[in-house]
Amino acid sequence: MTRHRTARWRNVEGTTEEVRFLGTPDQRIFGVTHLPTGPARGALVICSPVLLEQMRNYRREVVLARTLAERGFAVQRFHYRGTGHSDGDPSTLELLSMTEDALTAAAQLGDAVSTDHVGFLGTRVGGLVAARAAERWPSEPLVLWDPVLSATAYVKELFRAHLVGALKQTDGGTGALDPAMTFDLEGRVEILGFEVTRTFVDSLGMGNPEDALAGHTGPVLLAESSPRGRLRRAYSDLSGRLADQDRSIETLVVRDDAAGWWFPGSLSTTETSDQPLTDATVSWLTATTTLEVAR
Amino acid sequence: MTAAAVNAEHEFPVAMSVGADRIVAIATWPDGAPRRTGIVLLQGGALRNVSFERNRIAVRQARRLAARGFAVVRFDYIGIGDSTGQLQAFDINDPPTDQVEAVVDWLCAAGVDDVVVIAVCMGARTALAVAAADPRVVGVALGAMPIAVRTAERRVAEWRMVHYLHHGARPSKLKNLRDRNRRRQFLRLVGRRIRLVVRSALRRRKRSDLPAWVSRSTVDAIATLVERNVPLLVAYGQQDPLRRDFQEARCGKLGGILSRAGDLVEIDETFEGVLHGFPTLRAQDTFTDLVEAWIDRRLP
Repeated sequence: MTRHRTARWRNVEGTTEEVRFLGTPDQRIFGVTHLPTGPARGALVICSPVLLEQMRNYRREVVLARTLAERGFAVQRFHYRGTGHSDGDPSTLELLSMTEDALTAAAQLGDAVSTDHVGFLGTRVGGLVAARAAERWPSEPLVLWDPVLSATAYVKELFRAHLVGALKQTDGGTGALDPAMTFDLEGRVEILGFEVTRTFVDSLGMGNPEDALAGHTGPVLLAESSPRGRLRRAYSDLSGRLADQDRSIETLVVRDDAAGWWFPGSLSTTETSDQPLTDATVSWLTATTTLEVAR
Repeated sequence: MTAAAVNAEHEFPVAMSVGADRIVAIATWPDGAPRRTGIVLLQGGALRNVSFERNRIAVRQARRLAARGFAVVRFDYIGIGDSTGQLQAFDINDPPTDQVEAVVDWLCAAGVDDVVVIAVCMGARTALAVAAADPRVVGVALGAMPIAVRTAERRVAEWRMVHYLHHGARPSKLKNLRDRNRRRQFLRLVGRRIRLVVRSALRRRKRSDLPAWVSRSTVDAIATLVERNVPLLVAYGQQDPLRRDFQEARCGKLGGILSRAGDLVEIDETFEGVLHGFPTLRAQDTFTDLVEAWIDRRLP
């Protein structure tokens, strides 16, 4: 049997999708390249969240990539090593390796459309990855969906999600009644069926997105899905500080009653609730990206 | 070949056409020629699920089975994960068998003679439907299979009139009916109850030994597999709500089928937690180990 390393097809809209494993043997990462019909007007790498958030956001990223391709963008999605279909041990997942994988994805995209202009979109922890990877392309668009700004706050959120998950389960949950204590003692803890390690958490502590954005001169979109319909204080503060430095930053809040990373709503509510954020992001990228790149 | 040695080098993506859409699958291939029986992994049904499943249990399963010489395919249903198309609805009583058939067709064209399907949750219902209709399926391993016609109808079946009066006739609830969405939900609930009552009446008339909330097609599919001598593994966690439904369903016709099947149908309820959705590392490891041990017994 002939094994083709790339699965490729053309959609009815005229766009092309290519699925392949990127990178070196033993370190392969799964990737999907979405290509527009004609020359690309922009190129974007999508940096996913991790853990259950990756599954929560997955289809939204797929729909975003396809919509952008229909609008003329080339888009690269990928799975970090240790996640999804990629190689690697989940216990070794950390910000440096995730950033390396984003750069591998960017290289793939750059080759596909012969461009040096690559923008990034990152969600949650993927926002940290996107901000760091974007340091190489400081004048390109950067989109941050619900980015993690503080490793400490994120870890607290993980522990809260664990406790809520334990309450929901009839068997009392994962057994780690105090996830913080377990984490301190053992250097790892199970959160909703995923293992979270100290390596991962410590690496997030090194990735302050504001530091990563220090040299970024391109346009930034900071977006949040919220049942409150209001931007959280941390995001508005960040936006304010960047604006004070004459940086081009826009904020966006999409009202979403089903918003929530850990216990997503029913099938119908989350399917429809994704669309406003996707549409707003596509509109923003279309407005801020005017460069036509060769293919 | 050890499981640790199987990685993405042994994997390649495949895009299969189903109607106007593409199913994106990942095939995991052993070194050398694969065994004559291939394996298809079916995920549980939900928009938020993807073929690698929570904590990539499906990836680990596929690579471990490939280390044992099996060709394995995992894929996203249309409208899910990387596949194209739009998810219309996940109807547990009308599962996407055509999509699974496309995968089985591909595997058989790739050189295997027959397949074993490993499935969880709604995938389990899909697996049974496919297996009952397709003689190329020679084994089925299921985790946390729903046996009810619809989970919602199972709940509705337990309600008596006093529940409706207690919950539905309160002033606060009646006030909610001013909202269009709430009205729709209420009418949907009433509709389900009416359907259930009618179905119960019809089954009583036919002297059926299946409660109205039990999926007849699922029970029939199991009966068909037993007749064809197809081994079946049914696994639940002891805390799985779906296990209670299965146990109740066994009191009727299903119980007779399972008795006649003898050790052809293995029912494993040893896991002390919840299997459905693989919410814990223990659940993930347990299901993986259970399935592998069953495969070793059934496909030596």
